[in-house]
Amino acid sequence: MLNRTEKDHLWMANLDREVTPAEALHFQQQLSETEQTRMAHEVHLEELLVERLLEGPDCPEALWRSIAGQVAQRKPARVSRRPVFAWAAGLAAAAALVLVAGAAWMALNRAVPEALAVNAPTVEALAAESQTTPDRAAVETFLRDHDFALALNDFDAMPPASEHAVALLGARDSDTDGMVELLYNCCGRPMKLYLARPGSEGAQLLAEAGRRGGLLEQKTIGGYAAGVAGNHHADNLLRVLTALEA
Amino acid sequence: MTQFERYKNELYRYALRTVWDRGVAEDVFAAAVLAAWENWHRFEPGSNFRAWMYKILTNKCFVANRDTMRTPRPLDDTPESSFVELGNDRGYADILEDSDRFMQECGDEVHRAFAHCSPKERACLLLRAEKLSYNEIAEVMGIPAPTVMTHLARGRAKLRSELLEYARERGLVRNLPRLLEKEAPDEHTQRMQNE
Repeated sequence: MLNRTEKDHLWMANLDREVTPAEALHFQQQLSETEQTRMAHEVHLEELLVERLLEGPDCPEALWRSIAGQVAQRKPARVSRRPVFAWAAGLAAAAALVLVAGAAWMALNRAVPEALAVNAPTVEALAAESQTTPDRAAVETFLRDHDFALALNDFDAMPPASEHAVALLGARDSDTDGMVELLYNCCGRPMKLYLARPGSEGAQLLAEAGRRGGLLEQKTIGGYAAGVAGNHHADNLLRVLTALEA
Repeated sequence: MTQFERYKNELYRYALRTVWDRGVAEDVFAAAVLAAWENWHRFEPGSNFRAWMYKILTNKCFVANRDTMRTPRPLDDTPESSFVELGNDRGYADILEDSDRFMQECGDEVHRAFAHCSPKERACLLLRAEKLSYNEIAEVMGIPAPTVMTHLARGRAKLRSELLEYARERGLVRNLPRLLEKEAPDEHTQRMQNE
């Protein structure tokens, strides 16, 4: 017995003709007479709706000329392609050796400094550490109050859609100077997103932890150092931050 | 620029329908074309240029929508519509039976109804309207194909439900869902009742 979603998917695939002729025939045979009539009507209604949805003006010529003008001033970026020499293979092997040695060194030194550790065992425990309510507006106010010119994005609204379920839990001051912590729940695991002002103790700590491979993600956003720590690899969590224009 | 030129009108209309505001749509469209041009080296020759452009444009549209709608909207607590279950509604059957006439009555109502769909539903519906396959839409949106089907089913159900609501308000269809509607009495019963 199909559930509601499966039935909807089946109708969609047939309405959009994303099925083989054999599958379409099989589907038709499963439908009652009333449903067959409905499917025929749906195909026609869909055509009318699509026609209406696609109605609209063409791209204005003036706009296109302006874009073409801007394009003419910019050269498309090219990847430089050098000839492949015989010694390239040897060089690649040497590079691989260096990478392996580097990875081994990183693994040995991969330690999260205590100040960046996520010690809360559960998301509830982490949420209890928050100094704000768990909403974007409150956290943005918190950031403003702490002199961070950053805005938060809605993770769910950003393509490509993430397979991770991410929820904001709040924000808090860090014990480290110049740093604040944004608290997240990612797939039921506690995660922290650290932000530090440039030149602060927090920025140095993040840079050092990044070098030692102790952060899941790390980058500079609007001049601020940012890094993610936790026991779960969130899907590019730093995407939630946007620098505000000065 | 030949490839860009070929798709400029459909891409422009897609931006218009996705961000609504003409000024923002023009900015977003221009930014997408320039971004594609600057990242031309990332486009694999022989692959799907149209889908690649839609991907860049969709990202720009979503970012623009995010920037212009910073205030979080309350969660929509209306029950999720099912496309298949719409078939149980007598009023909807009326629409289906004479959809040409109904669409003439609708005018701009389709676009108002479309606005009730979520951004992802709208994007999936528009991309499908532009004849992209499920796999191409999945690639553009960065989501699995079954999720595309879910967005399409929900979007279509919402669009149709909104139009049905409009049709009811205008008295264009019967007002009772099929399961609740009583059969009209035949002539004999009617006469007996009147007597």
